[in-house]
Amino acid sequence: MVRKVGFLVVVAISLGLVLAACGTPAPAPEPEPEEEVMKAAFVYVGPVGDHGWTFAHDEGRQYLEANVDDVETTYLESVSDVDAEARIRDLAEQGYDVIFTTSASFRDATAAVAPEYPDVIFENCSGFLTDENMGSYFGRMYQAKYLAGIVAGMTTENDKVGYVAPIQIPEIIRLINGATLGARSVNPDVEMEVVWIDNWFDPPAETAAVNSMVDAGVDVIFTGTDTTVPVSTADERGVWSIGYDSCESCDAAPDLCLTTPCWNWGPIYADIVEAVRDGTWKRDTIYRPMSEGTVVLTEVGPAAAEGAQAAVDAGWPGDDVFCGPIHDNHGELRVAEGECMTDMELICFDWYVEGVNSEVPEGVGCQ
Amino acid sequence: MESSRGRALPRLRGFSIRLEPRLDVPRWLPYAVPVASLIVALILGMIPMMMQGINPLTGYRDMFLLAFGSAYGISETIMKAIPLMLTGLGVALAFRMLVWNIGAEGQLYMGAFGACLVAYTWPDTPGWVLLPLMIVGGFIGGALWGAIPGALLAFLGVSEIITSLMLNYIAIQWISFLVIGPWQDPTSLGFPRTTRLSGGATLPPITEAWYLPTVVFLAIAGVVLLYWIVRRTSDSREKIKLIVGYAVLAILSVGSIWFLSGLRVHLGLVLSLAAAAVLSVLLSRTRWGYEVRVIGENARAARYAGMSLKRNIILVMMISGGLAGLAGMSEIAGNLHLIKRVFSPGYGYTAIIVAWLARLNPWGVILVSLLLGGLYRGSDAIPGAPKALGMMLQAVIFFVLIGGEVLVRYRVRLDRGT
Repeated sequence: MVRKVGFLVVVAISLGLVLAACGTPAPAPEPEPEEEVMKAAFVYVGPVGDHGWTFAHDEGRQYLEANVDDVETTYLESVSDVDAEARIRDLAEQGYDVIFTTSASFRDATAAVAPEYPDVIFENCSGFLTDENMGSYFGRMYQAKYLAGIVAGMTTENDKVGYVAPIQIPEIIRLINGATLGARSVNPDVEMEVVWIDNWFDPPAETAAVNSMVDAGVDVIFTGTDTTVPVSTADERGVWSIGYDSCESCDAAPDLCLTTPCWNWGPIYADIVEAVRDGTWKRDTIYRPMSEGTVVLTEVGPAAAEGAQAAVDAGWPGDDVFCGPIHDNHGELRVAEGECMTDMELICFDWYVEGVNSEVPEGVGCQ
Repeated sequence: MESSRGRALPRLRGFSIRLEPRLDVPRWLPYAVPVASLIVALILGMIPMMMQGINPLTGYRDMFLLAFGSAYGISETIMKAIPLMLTGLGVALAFRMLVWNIGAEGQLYMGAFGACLVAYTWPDTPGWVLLPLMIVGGFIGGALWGAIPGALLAFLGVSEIITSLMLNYIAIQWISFLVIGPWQDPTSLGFPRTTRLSGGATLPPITEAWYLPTVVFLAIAGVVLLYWIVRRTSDSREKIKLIVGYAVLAILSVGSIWFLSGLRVHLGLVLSLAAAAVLSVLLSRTRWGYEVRVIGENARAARYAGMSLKRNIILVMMISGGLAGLAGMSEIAGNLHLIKRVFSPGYGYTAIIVAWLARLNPWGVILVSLLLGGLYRGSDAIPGAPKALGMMLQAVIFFVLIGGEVLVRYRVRLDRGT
């Protein structure tokens, strides 16, 4: 037994020696960076190569590096919900000035770490939770989903549109509702099918979801997940699709992809980092509308019905998507004529509008 | 040209590589092989690093510093190591008896279930009552899950490799059901997770408040030891051994409170070390431990000697599962404080590698867990590197380390001709 333990000690020591030796030829520690160099770190929920959500955030990070002077950035990709708290704490420990956590899934992990590091600014995307040193930022994507819904509603032949839905939270309900209202504003017969994959990033499940909806007669697929897999699967099945997240999503299926509601995060990142540097940062919930450029709808592609681009232009920027009258999918009037839903109601959305052929899963919403 | 090629080929074909069992293993070999394996693995790992445009030397340095370069880093490494220690101990025990428990992952999940069942049933109970109950609940959850493949093997001869593995998926799905169903936090907006455990249900982190109970414990242990040395031990070498062991224990426990207080490491570390101590005493000093070893070495002989195979298989699977269950309990109560859907990154599977590299020795499991915990931490958290790189490095190091073990027991012979 002593021998066995001895062997392990030898392994431990040699590991240390080997790695320490590896360290020696490295250059001496760089001189302390000047005071004004800002260090920003990004915690991503998926891989930067997902061509979707995380890809768009990483473009925002690169925009920040290119457009703001004296900024250093880094990122951690594919951080799991379970690991998030430890990884965010790591970055705070490593001395980053601003830490962006780019998923609603990281909301609570960010909120748990923020009070431990009062000198670090934390910014969580789409979680709508703030603290003394924690802000929240997002864009009104439902406006672009509404406009994309117009394109889908004009193009569909079977009057059946489908939505590949990721995680069961109010944000996704809101986007499904926006798309449905858009489609039904031009084609009142449209019905929206919803399939949940219970993940932001799960290509096999995304493929299966598209296939099941196409089998059921859906001919326009909205993707709500972080990848372009639904777009390319729809293309293989010969049906139209609407991309999401990255403005290059339609490159995955240029013939049948109609348009893409997508994100332009760069300016928000630049604004936040500048504000932190100037000392003007304050606790805030940023929720930028389409007219400010955070949310974009790409040009409508050639596969779309004639006149779709004109209809989109007429509806832009979709400021009144959730203004009455709006009925829910059980026929009840939820928003009266002349009224609009408040931001709080949008953040807690827990019912489907008329035309959504599904039920909101149990537990979704604010209690 | 043609002719020389023609001659060379049959000669090449004439070589054959054979593995020959070593008759006697040189003393230095079991230490040298893993060291050499590690060096080979690190060199192989440089290839994917360079393909990513990362200087492998600074890459390894960064990994090492992340894992062991600061008190914070060491604390986070220990956080990763705690579930590896407990699952590794469980797997090592089962493997001692040649019972191949591949189900530590599922047993870990069921342990978390058992512990949380207790915690959510009596949330307002004070910690000193609730935590012991949760430890029992976690152990029972894992033990019952381990008993199923144990009983199937003992009574029906069904391969425990298959059943224990398959039960993992059922356990993980059961937890998934709970976190989007009956146990889902109503304030989570819909995210799949349970409500946060009450304060009494969380394993406390190591703080300076621990000095007093530790000193009291050491004092009591010292008195007992003194009595033992004066009255029961006659051999002076034995006396020295006991005194040195006590000194090491005292220095380590007080020193680690000093080093780790204020960081995240929690009571689960003490739980793991206690489990290793108990297991090591059970295996080396008791009749039952002797039975486990004999059955592992020669089941037929053990049966002739009157040892019950059935009883021991079920018992070992239950203790093995129970230890994995404790890992689930400590991960939830000490680290996460709530259950998320897939909350273990495969600790129960890495446990198999831990047990193997530790050569099934309890204290070896503790040490290997710390090293692999460091590897996990170092390769998971490199800023700006692709996630897959860290996973590739882990895989290369595991693969080469395990593969290298062959060279301890066999020698490679290159034969010419047949």
